[in-house]
Amino acid sequence: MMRIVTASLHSLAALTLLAPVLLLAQPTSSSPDEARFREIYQRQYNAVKGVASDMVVMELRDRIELVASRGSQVGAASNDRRVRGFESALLQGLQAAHCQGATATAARPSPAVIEKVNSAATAQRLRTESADVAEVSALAQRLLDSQPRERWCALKSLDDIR
Amino acid sequence: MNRRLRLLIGALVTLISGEVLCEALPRMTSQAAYKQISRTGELRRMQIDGDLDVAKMRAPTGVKRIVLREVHLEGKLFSSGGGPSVELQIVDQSRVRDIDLRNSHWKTALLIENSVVRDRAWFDGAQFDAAFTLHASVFNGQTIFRNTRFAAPVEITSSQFEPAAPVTSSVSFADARFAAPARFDRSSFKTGVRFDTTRFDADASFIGVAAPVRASWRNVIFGGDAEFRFCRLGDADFGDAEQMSVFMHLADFRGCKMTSLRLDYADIRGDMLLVNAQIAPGDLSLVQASLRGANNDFRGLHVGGRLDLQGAQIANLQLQWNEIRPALLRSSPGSDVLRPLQSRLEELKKDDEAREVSAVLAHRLNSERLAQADMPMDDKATLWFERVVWGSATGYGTRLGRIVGVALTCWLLLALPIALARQLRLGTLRSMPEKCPPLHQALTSDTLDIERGSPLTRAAHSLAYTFALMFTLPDFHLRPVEPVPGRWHAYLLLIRGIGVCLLALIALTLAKVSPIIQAVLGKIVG
Repeated sequence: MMRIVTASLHSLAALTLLAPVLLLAQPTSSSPDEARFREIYQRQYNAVKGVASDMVVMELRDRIELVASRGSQVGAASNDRRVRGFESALLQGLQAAHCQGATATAARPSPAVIEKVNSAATAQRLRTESADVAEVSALAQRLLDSQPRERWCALKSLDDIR
Repeated sequence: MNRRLRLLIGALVTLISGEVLCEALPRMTSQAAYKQISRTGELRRMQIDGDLDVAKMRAPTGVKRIVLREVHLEGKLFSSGGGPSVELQIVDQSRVRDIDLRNSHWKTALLIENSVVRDRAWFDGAQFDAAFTLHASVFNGQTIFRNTRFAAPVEITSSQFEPAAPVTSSVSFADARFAAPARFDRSSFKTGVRFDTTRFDADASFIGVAAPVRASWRNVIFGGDAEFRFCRLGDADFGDAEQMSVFMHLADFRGCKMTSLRLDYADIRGDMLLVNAQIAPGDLSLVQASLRGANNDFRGLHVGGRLDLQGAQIANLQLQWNEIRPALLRSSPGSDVLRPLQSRLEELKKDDEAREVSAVLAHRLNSERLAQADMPMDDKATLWFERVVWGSATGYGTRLGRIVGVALTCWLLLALPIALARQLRLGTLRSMPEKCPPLHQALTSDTLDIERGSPLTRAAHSLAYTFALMFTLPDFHLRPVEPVPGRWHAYLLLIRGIGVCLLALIALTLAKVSPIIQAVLGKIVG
């Protein structure tokens, strides 16, 4: 009985945490903000189609640098450290999501990628706006799509992407 | 020479020159290129099908530079270790697909001139101990100098950074270090440029630099002079409370055109020159900035948006109030901004401009006091009275023309009822008594000549009498004829009272705007 209650509580907590992400992934519930998010995401995702992966990494780094330069918390780490920290957190997050048996979702934008982008930004205390998250998620998704799973899972840094 | 022959020759010349232009360059491998360089130190008119490793370039003894002249490198220029043994020059319409010199360490100079780099120009983390020059070259892909160290002079001049779609990233010099003078004169950065957290230990020159979208110098230290003369920038950002920039010496923005300029919290220790700078349609923000130079010159500055000087400390400011007035007022400046401006204009002996600022300051102080929630009602009423009577009528004692206009309008309006009234008649004193009765006092008909003149005469008398009553003309001969109804008596007293008030306002305004009267008053008081 106790186990059932604990499992139910865990499920409830997981649902509460995932609810915003799931809502974002629903194509039917389209608020103006969400429609704009999707538009930016799709535009960025399509724009870098055919661009070499290492150049996509640089595009992503540029976006993060821009967000970091928009204003840091006083006393926070330098921009460079925060950019690198973001990349590292994003890579680890995406590896955790895609390399531990879970199957990649075909949905675009992928809720998992958006969530990892958001959590990496939060970890570095970056002040992201919706448009930033959309662009960075699209670039991260493009990188994810460009690499075979084994190679992606073996990456130590985004600089290793060729 | 007939026309046909000329046409034929023209066509032949066109064909031949086209042939020359389209002529494929001789091709060689990377290995052959290394050999050629080791023999002559130069590659000329060659297409190299592969990558070139600068660490493998060895010039022959006695040759001081390796020159790639009109070379098309279809691979990438990279470094597996350090740079070449001698200076490397890539010149004369050379084309390079990629440059990837990330984290390389160069002890010799690098020059790229009149050439094109197509996809990547990556210099992140590289260190250049000798001169670094990019001149009149075009970069069509991603260009990155993030964290690059330059120990010797840098010249990135007359070059165009124009990434082709889909590349949208700006050229980044973030965290770069320039130990010697750096010049970026007349270069253009189509997708923007970022120098965030860069250090310039010596002079930095951005004369005529163009970045139509965005240019960012947040958290930068300019150790020498920073010259931005005649720049063409979009949104130029020099930081804010969290990422402020420091100018140790001159900050020269003369003749610059920018969409907006942010210098919040900037610490500018040398002269700050904004002469003839144009910032439109955006704002110029100097919030909490500290301008400590001997000459901070804002003359000729045009700001299309708001000029925000909140909390700014500006020493030795040179300005024309009329030039900055509209933009400054758009930012609703507080008394803390206006008071130092007024003092500075007084210091500069620009009395008219100082007076204008004093009017704006008085209005602002009035508004600030009225905005206080705990202000008693009677004080508020006094402030409103001051605002309407002193502020609106005289521009807080700065607009002599306005108060004279108000007085004349009052005169005409107040004379109108007298001209139209049947109950109030005016007569001329038969003889001027020794002690004249007051102007508002009605007299009996035996002391006055009562004319039955035309309406025009009556109107003229009414105007003359009202004027005399308002402005207390001595020995005036017109008086009302008894009997005068009670309400007309009150009306005449009212005219008198209004006249006295207007006279007082004119006198006070005159005392404020006229240097002669000020001097006379000064003598009387002093």
